[in-house]
Amino acid sequence: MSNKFGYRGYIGSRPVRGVSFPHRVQNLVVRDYATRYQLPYKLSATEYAMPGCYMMLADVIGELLSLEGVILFSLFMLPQRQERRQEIYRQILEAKCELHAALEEMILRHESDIENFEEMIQVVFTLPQAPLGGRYEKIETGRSPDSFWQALQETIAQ
Amino acid sequence: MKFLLPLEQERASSFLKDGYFIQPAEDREALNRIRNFTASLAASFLGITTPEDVGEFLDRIGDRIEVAQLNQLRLHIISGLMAQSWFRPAYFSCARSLLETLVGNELAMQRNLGLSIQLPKDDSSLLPLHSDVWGSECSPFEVVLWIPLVDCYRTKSMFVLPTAADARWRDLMNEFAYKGTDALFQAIEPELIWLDVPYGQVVVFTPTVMHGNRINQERTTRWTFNIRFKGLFTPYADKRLGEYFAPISLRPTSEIGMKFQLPGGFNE
Repeated sequence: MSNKFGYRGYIGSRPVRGVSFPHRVQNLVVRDYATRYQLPYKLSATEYAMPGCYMMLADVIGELLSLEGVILFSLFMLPQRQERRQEIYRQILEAKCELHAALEEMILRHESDIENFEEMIQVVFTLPQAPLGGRYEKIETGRSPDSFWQALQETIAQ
Repeated sequence: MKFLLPLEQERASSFLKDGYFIQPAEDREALNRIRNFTASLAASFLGITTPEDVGEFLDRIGDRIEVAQLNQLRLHIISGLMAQSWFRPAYFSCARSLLETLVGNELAMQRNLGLSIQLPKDDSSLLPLHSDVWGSECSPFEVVLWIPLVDCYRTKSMFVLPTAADARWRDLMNEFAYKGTDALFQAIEPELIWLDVPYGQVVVFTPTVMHGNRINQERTTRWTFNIRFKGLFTPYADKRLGEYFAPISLRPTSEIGMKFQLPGGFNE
């Protein structure tokens, strides 16, 4: 009988691809994903805000022997350096665990799945080199703060 | 300078002029497989054996189901199809060369699937006049591959405002700011094209032009799929690569380019 049980959530405190998601929203996405895929969910670990810090992820990886897998809020919370990601994939597979990315609905179960993860990450990292920086802005000011935010800033400035 | 082949040039001109292109499915076997599997999922939802004439069964599904059950049926079919590893490649194969001509050969495909089941006289699943780029997180660099599972015509189909008319009306759109989209629809209605798409044909259209549907006034049910495609390295709006789109035909030279690094270690 295996001692493995459950899927540990992993959410973060830094923006993901430039967008800040409240912890509550990240948890909702992870929980919803776990429910839809019928994965027993274990309370999420929350990564720290310091850029480049993956201490909480390291804790989750250290826990793999007792887990069935990990559910990342997003694929793009994995370390930016490819070698660090490869090391995580290796540890996940060696521990016979699964790595899920809830927002992208991607699953790494086998070595052959690494290619899908890496292809997605590499293309997204390359998009800023693509025409228009890979981003179509619908309004000329780009991703400007909304009118509520602007009004708030004006009030603060008074 | 365009090095497109004559057939590609013909498709491109027609697409630019009309905003859509209709042609026979390029892989009819794949289309039939999709339709048969969809019918079997619908039959399993209803707890019946899949009838032999699947076209008739889909057309007349309104005899067996209430509007209130439609969304459950829709979700049942979407999840059933998405669980099949063959489904997305099969869908793509129905218009592969057309997409490669109109969009490019290095593509991203929507990860999920849109399914419209519109019973006769049903007003619960209408898609009023709109252009996707106005408000639905879409980039104008996307196209939609729209595939019917039954013959679609008149109000059982969708309407499109051809490119030139779309540009003209877009300039006048602010005049409808307080009148609403139905008033805009009434104004543009004479210029709308209702797509006549028998089963076996597929449509690629640009969702930048105004389009939508109305209450299905025909006697049978509409069944249509829609999935978006775009050039992998073209600009994305909020339907992003990752959660919404996935690469499906990354080319080796891009792989080399993305991994390439100049030799390092030199000091000034």
